Amino acid sequence: MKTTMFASVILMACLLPGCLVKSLHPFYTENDVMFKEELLGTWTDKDSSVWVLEQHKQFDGLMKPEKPVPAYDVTMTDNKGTSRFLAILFALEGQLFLDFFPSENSCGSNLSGFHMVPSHSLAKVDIEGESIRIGWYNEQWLVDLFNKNRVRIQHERVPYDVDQKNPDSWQVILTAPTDELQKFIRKYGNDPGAFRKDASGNEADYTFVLSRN
Amino acid sequence: MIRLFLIRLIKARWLQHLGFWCASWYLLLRIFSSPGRILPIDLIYTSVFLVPVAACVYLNLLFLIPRLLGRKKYFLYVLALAGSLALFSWLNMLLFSRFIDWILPGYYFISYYDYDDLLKFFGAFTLIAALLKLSRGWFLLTEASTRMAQLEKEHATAELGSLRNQIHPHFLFNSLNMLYSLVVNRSEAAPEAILRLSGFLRYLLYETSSDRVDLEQELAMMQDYLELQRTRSGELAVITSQITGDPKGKKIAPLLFLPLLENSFKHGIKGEAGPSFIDWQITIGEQSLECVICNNRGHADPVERRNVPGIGLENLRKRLDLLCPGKYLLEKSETPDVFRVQLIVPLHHEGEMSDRGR
Repeated sequence: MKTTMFASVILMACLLPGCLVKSLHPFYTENDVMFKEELLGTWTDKDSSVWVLEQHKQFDGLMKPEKPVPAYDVTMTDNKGTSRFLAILFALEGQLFLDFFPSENSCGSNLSGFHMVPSHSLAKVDIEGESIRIGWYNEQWLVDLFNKNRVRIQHERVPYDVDQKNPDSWQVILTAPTDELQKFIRKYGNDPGAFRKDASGNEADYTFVLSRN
Repeated sequence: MIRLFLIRLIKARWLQHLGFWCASWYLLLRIFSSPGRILPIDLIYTSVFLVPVAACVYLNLLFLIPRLLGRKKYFLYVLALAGSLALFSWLNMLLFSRFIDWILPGYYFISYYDYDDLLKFFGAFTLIAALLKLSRGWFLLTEASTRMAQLEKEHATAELGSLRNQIHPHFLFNSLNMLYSLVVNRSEAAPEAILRLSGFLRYLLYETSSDRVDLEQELAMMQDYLELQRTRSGELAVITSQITGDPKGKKIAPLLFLPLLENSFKHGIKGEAGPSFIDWQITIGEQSLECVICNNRGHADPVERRNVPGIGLENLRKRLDLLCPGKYLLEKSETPDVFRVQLIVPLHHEGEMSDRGR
């Protein structure tokens, strides 16, 4: 249902305004993909939101990766609604990441749904016993670097609102190919502020710590 | 003016190198930046990217080409060039994956191109720079060749002028001797001879400085010369001449026949106390002219035979070598009684360019 997909995108945008780095191309290649059984199950974060991770069975419809790889269906439910994603676990330099992608099940069939361009987002994943720590790729960190002309990677800037003179009113869509994205993550993935931390170096509020139910 | 400017430009090497790298920098900047949007970070990236490219290019230009290609060590050159391309492409990868963080801390660069792509970049730049160097060398070589040809032409012109000028005193010396004998003998033909000589000298002075003269005029002057000699020798010699063919509209190098005629008079009539003869035959063809002179063999005095004879013919051969190398025939033959010389030279038509002017 495309209306549901639209809702989930809006939900993510509302939950994490200006926090997600979006990419047109996936962050993983087929060779990096892995599947961990211990991620399956139902999890709850500190805001009592419920995360259900199930093994994805079948890729179909418009929203599917180029090659079928092991993936998770992620359903997140909180008091504002439900959003569904396809998440693909992969490892780079020994570090686990999840590539989030809007799920086919969340796609609406209305006309506005067809206008949505699905994008990938990236989160660093650490499995710590019975809890999972998920930290999204910090968009603000990247936007600051773009604004200061300190980083060079293919991207486009899309306005958030009409106040386009304000640098914070733009969001960044990465358009670099997967190979380039991975080189960047490998080299600067451990940079302070790239994941989880805010500009002051504190744990960002968009880092989710999930505990198994 | 433009040519001079171009030559100066080609010789200003620092300017060429500056131009090459500015053009390369701009070209790479256009490749590396998004269409219509050049960011300051792209300027920095392009500048850093060019450093190993420049190192590879100059290694080829300053070391590999002069030391290997210039010494015809082609196989070694190809090996060394391939090695340097591989090395500098790898260094470029290393620069942007590691060293750039030390050189420019606070900037976030990665090595955006695969090794294969970098090899293509480095190969293209090295090849273009090498071709520019070789074409510059070719241009300078052409310039040197042109200058050498110009110098050779000037040298030939000077030599030709020198040879031609030697005819004048040679002819004058003989003519004055002839006039002297006429005056001493109180000949009535002396005034007419002086007039003919004057006309002949005027021709020598004003008409023969060009590469080619009208064949008709040249033959007329030679006929005048024969008349002078006929006046001098009187009844002692039978002087005959015949011109076959039409000289009109044809041109020839000046004074080719004079040394031959002088020679025949000097060694035929002058060297012979008794009756003697000179026969001058000219056959004019469409493209060439044949001149045959036969005279009786005289007995010149030993001093003249040792010093003077041969100068005229030798000079003539040198002139012909310069004027129409390989296209003439000059042969002499002799029997105990008759000396014969044959000259075949190419003729030119009005409006044709001079060989030496081409």
